[in-house]
Amino acid sequence: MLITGLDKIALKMLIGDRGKYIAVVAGITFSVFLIVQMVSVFIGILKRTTADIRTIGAPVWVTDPSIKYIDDLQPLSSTALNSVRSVPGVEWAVPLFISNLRARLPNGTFQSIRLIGIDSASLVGRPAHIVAGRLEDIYQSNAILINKRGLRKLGFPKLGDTFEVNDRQARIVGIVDVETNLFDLPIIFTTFERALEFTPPERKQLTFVLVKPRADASIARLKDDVRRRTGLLALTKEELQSMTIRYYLTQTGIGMNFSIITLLGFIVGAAITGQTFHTFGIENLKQFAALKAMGVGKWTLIRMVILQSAIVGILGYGLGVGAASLLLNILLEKLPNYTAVTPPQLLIGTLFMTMMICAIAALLVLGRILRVEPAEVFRG
Amino acid sequence: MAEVAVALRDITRTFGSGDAAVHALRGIDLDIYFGELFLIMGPSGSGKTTLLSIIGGVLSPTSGTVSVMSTELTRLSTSEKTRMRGKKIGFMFQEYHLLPHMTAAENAAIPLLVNKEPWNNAIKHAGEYLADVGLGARSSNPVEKLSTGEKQRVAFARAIVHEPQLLICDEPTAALDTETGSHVMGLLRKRALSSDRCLIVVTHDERIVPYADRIAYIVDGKVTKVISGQRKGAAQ
Repeated sequence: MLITGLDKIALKMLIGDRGKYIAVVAGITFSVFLIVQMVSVFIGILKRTTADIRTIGAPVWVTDPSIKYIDDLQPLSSTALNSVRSVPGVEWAVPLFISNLRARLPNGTFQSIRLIGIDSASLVGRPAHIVAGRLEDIYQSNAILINKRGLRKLGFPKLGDTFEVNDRQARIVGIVDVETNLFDLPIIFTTFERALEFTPPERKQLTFVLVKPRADASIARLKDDVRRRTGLLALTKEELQSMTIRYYLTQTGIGMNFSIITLLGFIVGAAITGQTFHTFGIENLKQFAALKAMGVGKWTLIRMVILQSAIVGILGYGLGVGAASLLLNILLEKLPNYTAVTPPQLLIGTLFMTMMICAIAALLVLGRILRVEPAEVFRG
Repeated sequence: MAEVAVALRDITRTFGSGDAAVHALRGIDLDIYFGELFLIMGPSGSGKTTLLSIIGGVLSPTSGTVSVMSTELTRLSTSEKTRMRGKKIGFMFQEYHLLPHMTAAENAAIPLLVNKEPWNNAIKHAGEYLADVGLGARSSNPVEKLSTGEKQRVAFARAIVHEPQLLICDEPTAALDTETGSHVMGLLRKRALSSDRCLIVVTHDERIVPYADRIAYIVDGKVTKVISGQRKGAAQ
C-alpha cells in the first residue's frame, strides 16, 4: 500500500513523542518476549514427553487399553505378541520393553536410567545415530548402548566401561545420539532379552508390541482388528504422541501454570500498550481535532491511527521475537537441561496476538478521536 | 459590488436543552464579500467563536442557512463538509495547534497533504510560503524551538499554503505585541486577500480594527452593528 503524506505525518506524530513511543513498543516487546519464551519452553517440555516415541519410531504401537500416556507403562502378557502377529494386515510385530531402573556407578552412587529393550532379531526401535562404537556389538555379552547426553549423569564413562543395573554388569559398546526425554534420564538400549535380565522378574514383561502394517492395509481396520482379536489398543505413532501430550496438558499442572504465566504476559503487555497508546491519543486530541478542521476525513484518521498501532506492533513483535530467540539460543547452548522449541505456528500466533493488542489500543484511541468535534480547536 | 463569499441567514445556535439551554446565536444575518477583511468583535461569551465555527463548517447551526462560496453548508453531509474545508477554507487557530515534534515546513504542508499533494512537493511548496513570511531559514526547525511569533507565522503559512478562498482566523494577534501584531495583520492583508478571496477574523484586539474593511459587533448572540473600517495596509 502506498504511504501517503498524511501517513508520514501520523508516523512523525508517533515517533516524535519519544517517551510514549518507547513505552508502547516496550510493552509489546515485553509481552511478545514473555509469550515466545514461555511457550517455547512449554513446547520444548511437551516435545520431550514424546521423545521415546520418535526415537523408537514404529508406525503402530499396541498396548494395554488403559494406557494414558507413553510413560504409563502397563505390561502385557507375552502371548500378546503372537496374538498381534496373527491379526490380518500386520506385516511384522516385535516386542518392546521399557522400564525406569537404577544404575549403580563404579563410585557406588545410584542414577536413575531409562532402559529400552528392542527386538534382538530385527533391532526395530534401534537409535538412528551411532556416534561411537558399533550397533552390531549390542549382541555381545552384557552389551548396552547409551545416549550421549546420559554420559554426564553416569560420570562420563567411555566405550568398554561398565556399571551395574540390578546387580548385573552392563558394558557400554556404543554411544548414540537420540532426543532427550522429559526427565533427561540416561537412555540405555539393549536387546529385549537382556533388558529382561536387567529387570527384577515380573509376571508380565512385554511393554509394547511394535507393528508395521502391510502397505495395502487400512490403519483404521487394523486398529479395529487388534481390538477385536486381542482386546488390546493399537495406536499410530502420532496418536500415541497426541495422547501423551494431551495427558501432560490436562492431567498435570504444567499446562495450567504455563498458560497463567503466558496470559499474565499478554495482559501486562496489553495493559501497558493500551494505556500508553490511549494517553498518546488523548494528549494529541487537539491536534487530531485541528486535522479534522483542516479537512482530514474520518477514514483517513482511522488509517493514521491503524498505521501508528501497526508500526508499534510490528516493531514490538520483531524486538520481542528477536530478544526471545537470542535468550533461548544462549540458554540452549549454555544449559544442557534447558529445552525450548519455537515452531512457526507459535510465531504466527504471537503475531496475531500482537495485532490484537494493537487493534484494541487503536480502538480505544479511535473512540476518542472520532468523537472529538473539530470545533474544539476554537475553544481555549 | 463584490460577490458574496459568505451569506448567513437567521442563524441560531443553542447548546443544551430545557432550562439548561444556552442560546449562543439568536438570528444572525450577515453577508461577507470576496476581497474583504471582515472583523467579528464582541465581549467574551457573545457568540463570536460559535459564529466562526459555523462559517468554517465545523459546527452546524440549530436553524438558519449558511452559504459559503455559493455552497449551502447546511445541506452538505459531514464528509462533504470535511472535503470542502480541506479545499476551500484555511484556518488559523488562536492556540495554533501545530503538530509537535515536526518541522515548520511539515506543519505548514499539512493542507497540501490533505489535498493529496506528494510529500516532497508539499514540503517544498510549504517552504516557499514560510520564506514569504520570513521563516525560510527556519523551515526545517522543529516547531517547539520557535518563538511565539514564529509559531504564529507557521500557523499563517499553514492556513494559506493551499490558497483557500476563505481564511478564518481566531484571535490571530492575542499573544503578540503591538509591533508583531501589526506585522501579522499586514501579512494577512497582503498574502490572504484578493478579489476572489475573503478573510474573516474574530478578535478582542482593538489594535487590529484599523486593518478591517468592515467590523461586525456581536452582543448576546446578535449582531448589534456593522461598520466600515479604515482598511489600513490595503493596496491603493
